[in-house]
Amino acid sequence: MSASTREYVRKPAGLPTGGEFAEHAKAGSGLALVNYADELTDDDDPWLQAADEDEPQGGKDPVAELVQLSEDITLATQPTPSIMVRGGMSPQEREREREEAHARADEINAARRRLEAEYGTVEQAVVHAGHRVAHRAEELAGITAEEVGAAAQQRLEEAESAYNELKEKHSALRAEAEEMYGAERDELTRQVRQLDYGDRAEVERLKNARFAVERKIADHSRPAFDALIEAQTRLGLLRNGQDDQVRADLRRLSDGYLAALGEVRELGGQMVWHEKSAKKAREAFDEATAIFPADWVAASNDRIGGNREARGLLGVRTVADQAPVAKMSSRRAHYVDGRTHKTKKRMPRETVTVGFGDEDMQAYGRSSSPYTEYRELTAEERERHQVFAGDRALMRTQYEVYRGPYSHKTNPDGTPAGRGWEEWTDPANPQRKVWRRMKHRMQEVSSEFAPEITTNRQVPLVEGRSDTFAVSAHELSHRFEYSVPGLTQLEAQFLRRRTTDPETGEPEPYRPLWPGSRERVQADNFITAYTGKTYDGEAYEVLSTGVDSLFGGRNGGMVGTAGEKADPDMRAFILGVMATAGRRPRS
Amino acid sequence: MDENPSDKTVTVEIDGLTASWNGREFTGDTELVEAAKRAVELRETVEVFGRIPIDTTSVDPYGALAALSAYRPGRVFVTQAPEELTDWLELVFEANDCQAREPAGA
Repeated sequence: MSASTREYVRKPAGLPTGGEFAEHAKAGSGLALVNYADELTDDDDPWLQAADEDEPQGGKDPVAELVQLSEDITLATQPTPSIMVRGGMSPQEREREREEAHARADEINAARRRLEAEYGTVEQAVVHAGHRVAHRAEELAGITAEEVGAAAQQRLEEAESAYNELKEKHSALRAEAEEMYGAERDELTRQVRQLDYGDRAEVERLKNARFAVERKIADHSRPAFDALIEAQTRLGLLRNGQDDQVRADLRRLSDGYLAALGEVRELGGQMVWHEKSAKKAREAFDEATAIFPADWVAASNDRIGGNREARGLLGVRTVADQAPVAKMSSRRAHYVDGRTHKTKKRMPRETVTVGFGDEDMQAYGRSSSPYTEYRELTAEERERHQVFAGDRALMRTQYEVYRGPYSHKTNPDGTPAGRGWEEWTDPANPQRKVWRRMKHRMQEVSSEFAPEITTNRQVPLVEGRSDTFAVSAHELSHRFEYSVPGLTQLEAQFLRRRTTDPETGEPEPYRPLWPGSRERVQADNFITAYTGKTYDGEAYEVLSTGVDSLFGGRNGGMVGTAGEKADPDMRAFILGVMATAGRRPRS
Repeated sequence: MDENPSDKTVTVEIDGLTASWNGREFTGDTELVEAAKRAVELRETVEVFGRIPIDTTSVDPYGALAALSAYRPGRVFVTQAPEELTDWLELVFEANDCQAREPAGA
């Protein structure tokens, strides 16, 4: 059996020493660990064991093999080069351009052919790589996905059973108490109803007596009731994946994935954010960035400053690509690869006027109305508003006038409450005084076209992760789809394989999540049907839901916690993509 | 006058199983109905479509959808729902999770 077709056994090959891997030095994932490599011998190294099993002749470094596979995958998912003949090129230059494009195309095709020959498809090569990473990750974590899933399922079943037993016990005790005290309570109830309500003391006495009986009934089953509530809480936590043990196990697996990926390629890095990004959002995304390949982060950063097309009301124009604007949001989190961001500022409500206020300005040097004020335009304002030299124009500022406690909040001393009020004196009649304040409006002062990425908070399902981690990782995946060549191509291939009937070749039809919905998916047997959603072939939900599952614990961590099913095929695809795709040439 | 309960009917399908909420109670395939009842009993919050957390109840269509999804929240398809529920879902999903550029007029 060749290495490509070999089914990997997930059981750890004898290295239940997890924990130290949570501090893998190469992971670059914000984990603080000792370098376990110092403590292990070759005999303990599952990479070597896996290699020995795969390659009887031995001798090949499995990490180096994966790196080679990664380079082929990266190459095979590059777009076929096009020949750009520019004006002013000499025939020799054209020829060189053509030759280079052909050579590049040959290289890409050769990589595709190599992968197809060995694995069937490029996507299957990725899945193969992912299985190896998963295998190694479990070795490093000292726990397997199957173990995590099975243990969670067992605890869930035990909790169900304990809850059902306690529920029955509580019901039995309630029934017993009813038998013991029910008649007494009913009699007291009957007496209260029949009583003349004029006799308040007797009513009070009977009510207290009935209350005491009801209390005896409740006390009879109280320990069982308290235990039932505890069991109910425990069951709820297990069903929602919020059980402490599940969260700890998913952290071990997650750290194992990062440690294994960290052996194949560098992870993490610093995303460049737009200056308008919110600090909390930047921090949230920076935490999640640590799980992604450094090459992807670099690809995202390298886009900035390049040219891109922006579509507006006036058609398509070329603009400089900007860094993403990161935001916190209470609404649905999202990534938009390009949108107009307007900056608005609170400005005085001013308008340029011609023919108004001249008389007042001549008579008093200011307005005779408390609702307006006039001033001369500055040279810059004259130019901006295209006021020709010699034309008489004034800037009119609008004011709000205090009209008493019925229209405005008022301080105890009779002055208007709030900021910005000034006492105005009528220039024509100094006895007349009013309170007024300047009116303002939000005015657009600048606008630019930039990507937008938002995140929000959800209950964390992996120990030690923040409440924004899973959503941030999900949305960052979308950012990388638009920044890393080849990612969406692999997602498309994976989705096609999973949603195509192997016998008929027919694709699974898209289906709306609810009647009339625009949210249409190919559900396959994904843990969440949402994984099968596509965005006109430009982006997918495969990587994003995969990443938020494996590293954020959603969808049962894809390993079968929280009563969900496991999806080892998708897990391998996600880990394979993270291990191999978008690799950049090393100098 | 009482509102006709059938106007509020929510029906879902999960992996070939179906169940409904008729304004008062859950009916349909046992697995889904049992899971729905249990979710309400445990006052669970269910992530409908694996995306939107909703508190389960049996007194309004939103909570009922959450309860009906409890069997496998990520696999649910709504096949019948009152307009107020579908309008609300449209609102929740108004902003696309991912898109190349903002929609015209945004």
